Amino acid sequence: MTMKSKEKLRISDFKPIAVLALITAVTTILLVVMERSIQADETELSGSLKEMCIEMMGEGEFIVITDWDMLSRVTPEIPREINRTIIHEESGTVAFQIIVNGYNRNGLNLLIVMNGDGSVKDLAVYINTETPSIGTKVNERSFLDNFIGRSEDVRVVRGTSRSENEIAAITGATVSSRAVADAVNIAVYAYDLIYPGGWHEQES
Amino acid sequence: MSKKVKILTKGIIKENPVFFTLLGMCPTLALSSSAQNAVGLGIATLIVLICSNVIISLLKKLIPAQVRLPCYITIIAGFTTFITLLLKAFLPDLYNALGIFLSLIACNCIIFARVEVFASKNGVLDSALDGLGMGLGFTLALFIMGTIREILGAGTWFGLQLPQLTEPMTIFIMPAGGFFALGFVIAAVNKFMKKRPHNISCDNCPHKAMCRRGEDD
Repeated sequence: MTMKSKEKLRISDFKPIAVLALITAVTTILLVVMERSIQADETELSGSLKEMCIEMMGEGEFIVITDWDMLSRVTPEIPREINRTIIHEESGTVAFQIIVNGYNRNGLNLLIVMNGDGSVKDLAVYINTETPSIGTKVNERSFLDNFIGRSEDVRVVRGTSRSENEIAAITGATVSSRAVADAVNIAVYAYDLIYPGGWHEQES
Repeated sequence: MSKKVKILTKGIIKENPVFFTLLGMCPTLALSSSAQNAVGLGIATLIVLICSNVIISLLKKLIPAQVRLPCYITIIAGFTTFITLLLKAFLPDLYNALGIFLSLIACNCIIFARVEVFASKNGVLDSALDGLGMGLGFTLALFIMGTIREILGAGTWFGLQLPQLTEPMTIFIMPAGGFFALGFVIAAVNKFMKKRPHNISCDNCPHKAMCRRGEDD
């Protein structure tokens, strides 16, 4: 009986695998520890978003709801696009931070402040990652002002608007303009879900 | 001492990663549409580059040659994630502006090139200086590109409105304008540095034996 002589595996053959595993493990552990210690608090308003909130709703404390699951338990149809719901503590003014797809995925991040009767009080673009100087034209005040005071479905059309609830798109930025209208419609819809018939009626 | 200075300065001008070795083209073209983003990404890359260079220089004896690339990727990606977490927590506006290109520092070829060519063969201090020099060179290149493109394409600089002489040329903000500006900047830097391309002739060509183009003349 003959046996083929096998080459014996030596301990040193496993060294590369062991070193790679060690480095990966150490990196992972360090990153996990780091993430735990410096995790950003989503309910804390920071940077330009806070400035925008103060500018649009006034000074004061803000209550921020980031938990979509919690909101959806109260009103199951609440749209997924709502990232944060920001409530001004003194006046009770509600604002939505909404992320919608424009020409780029999640290209537009808007802050929409609502009136008590469910119409749009004010809106501004928080982050715009659309094509520079084309899709970013929707940041302009002259375009955004078209949406103020709306409480019915608005549509963005090319060229000139023909009826009351149509808004002319910015030339060359139709897709981004539509995304703004989407966000406004989502905000109006969501406000109606949370406060059916408006906030004042709820109070009385 | 002068050797250390040389290591530091060679990355800034003489071997600038963008203008002379043409590495890291993707972030250069994608994020130089505004000076602010360009400098932000440049500094983030600088930090990752120095940290990776130092760590890999320290571990160069430990890492076996067979698995060196996976080890480098793990270390570089670790530092990239670290920077991403820091920016997300403390500079959310810059984090939002840089978007996906921040995570893509992990596969930036400048970092790979410096780690493979320099840090895995040299000491810790030299590697740190090399990382600093190359990172500064990359930041400088991005800053020049960002300045040119933002001023010509949007009429602003670091977000400040400049007096408008003409209508901004939108094409400079678009990808096509990025290539256009990069070509001119590289040409200008080469002219200024009096660098010439390597002599292109049949004598230097490795395919001379197979190719018969030269024989007709």
